[in-house]
Amino acid sequence: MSRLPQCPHEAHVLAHFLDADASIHDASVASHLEQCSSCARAVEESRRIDALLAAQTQTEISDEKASDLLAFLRGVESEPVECEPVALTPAREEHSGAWRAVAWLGLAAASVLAFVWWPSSGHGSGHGVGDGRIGDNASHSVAERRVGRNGAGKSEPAKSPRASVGYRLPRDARFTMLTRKGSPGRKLTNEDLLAAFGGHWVSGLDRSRLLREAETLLRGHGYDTPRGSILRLDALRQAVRSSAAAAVGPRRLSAQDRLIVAATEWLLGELRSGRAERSELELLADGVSRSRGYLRRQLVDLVRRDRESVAAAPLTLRAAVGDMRANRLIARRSYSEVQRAALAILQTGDAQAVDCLLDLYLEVASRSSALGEVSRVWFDALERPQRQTLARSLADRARASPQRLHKDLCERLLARLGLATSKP
Amino acid sequence: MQHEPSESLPVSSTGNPSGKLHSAWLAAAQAGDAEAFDRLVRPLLGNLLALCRRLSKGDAAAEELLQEGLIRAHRGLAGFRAESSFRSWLMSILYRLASAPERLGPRRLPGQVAVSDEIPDGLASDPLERVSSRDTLRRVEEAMERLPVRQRTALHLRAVEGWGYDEISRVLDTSRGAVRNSVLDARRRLRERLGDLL
Repeated sequence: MSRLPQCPHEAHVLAHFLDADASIHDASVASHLEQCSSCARAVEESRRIDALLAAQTQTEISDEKASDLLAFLRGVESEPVECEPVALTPAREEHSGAWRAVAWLGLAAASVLAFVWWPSSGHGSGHGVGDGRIGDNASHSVAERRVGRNGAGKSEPAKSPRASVGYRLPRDARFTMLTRKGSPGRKLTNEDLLAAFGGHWVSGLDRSRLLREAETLLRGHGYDTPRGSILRLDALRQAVRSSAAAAVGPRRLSAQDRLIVAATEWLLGELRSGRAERSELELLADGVSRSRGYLRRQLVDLVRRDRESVAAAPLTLRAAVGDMRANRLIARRSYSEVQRAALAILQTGDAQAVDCLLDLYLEVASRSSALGEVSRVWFDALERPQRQTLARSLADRARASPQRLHKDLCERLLARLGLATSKP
Repeated sequence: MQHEPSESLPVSSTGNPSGKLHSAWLAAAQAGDAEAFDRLVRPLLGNLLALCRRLSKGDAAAEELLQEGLIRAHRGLAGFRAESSFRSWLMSILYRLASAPERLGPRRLPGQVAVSDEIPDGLASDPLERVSSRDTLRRVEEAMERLPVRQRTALHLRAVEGWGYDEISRVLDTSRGAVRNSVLDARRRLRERLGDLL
């Protein structure tokens, strides 16, 4: 537009009237403004611009949002509150933990997102179809493959659920933005991850080790460039989401779930080598607690394999992975903490969780019969297969427990839950 | 980093620290007290986020920028010499981060500006007005986005935060005169682009 005045005094006038520029002491400025319509208009329009900008800018922020933003720094700095002894060596200076904590908060968010926005279901035998397949590599989880490779899991060889992990895309899955093989890739950015996570922001992933893990992982799945991988991930997400098959079939690990598993393994490795701090396990505990289904079981398995780290882990993580040795310690805490631990154990959702929950119940009920009464409701939430496991476990303990009190408690619980067929 | 017990920190009843309180919190934060850092930064977060929104494409990118800035500030707090105000220092970190080439990225085409669904209070009250306000918002956002980062920052700090040239110059690490020119030039460009709205 060419409607603007070009008065040579305009800059002085604006600075004087709008910005109260004290360096301008020219008394003639005021009189100039009265005479110069172009400067008067410039002042008026500039005032309106300032007003528009101020009106459309929100400078208030909710407490919740503020806490979210500052939670990163708490993750970095807060001291662990658990009372157990710490077996880990101090972190080195160059691994201050800030970026790791950032990545791990992202991980916690990612685990939620992976659950909420990525159905991660599929069907079939785990063999891929055309361009859409993640590849045969996907028939083992990353964690399992890596544990097998680096020897960390020698005592417990990695399982190979070949048929349970992997994608088979619907036949009509199409990818509209494929990159050509051999074309130069670029570094992953948060934009890429945003796309992969369905437009939802995953905080703290930028420039983190997690990104490098993502690149390695996705390259390992046969994708030519990270960019191409992410684009395909997004297409995969759309395809799986829109497919009727998304609603059926066993739970599988999505590509993003595998990122989380890979990152978990990385953190545990850092802990083993003394480069991570124990407080970072709080974030991992949060990630485990928030994850669900197959991903949760993968994470729980991974953490359980690392007995040393689990032994030194905060109680929240130990509860989240159903570590029975923690129960005695948990039972000494306030009942609200006990309840939280019980919930975490319940959410673990595997057979060991039932035993762990029972163990915690017995610890609590041994200390206080009143709390024992209240705690029985934990078992109401169990599903049928878990109730069967519980019934077996209760019967075994009622028969074999050396403590009379435990025997009685088990028998009473059996009767209350209607699991007792006949009193021994 | 060593942690000082935060229980000894003085507490502000208003949420905004006075000079003495601010100094106490700053000293504690520099000694590694995360809670003191929280107290220092929390009252400024809204303003910091507003600048980040102005310098970023979308809310997500703005929050990412802010968080990265906070982490950098936290790491570099020990080196903060109070030659400028704490808020100027934080804003300057955000400005430098936003000016980094990898953050600038490709510019949006006209009409691609992301505008929040929320219309700020005071800008529109009835539905009809809201529609036109949305259009106004979009155009202002678009015009702002076309400005260089330096001009955008200068105008934001002047028009929204009401800062003087001196304080803005510490954020932009430039002279007072350069700030003045940036603000004036930014306004001139906006007037060119938004002429019919004004």
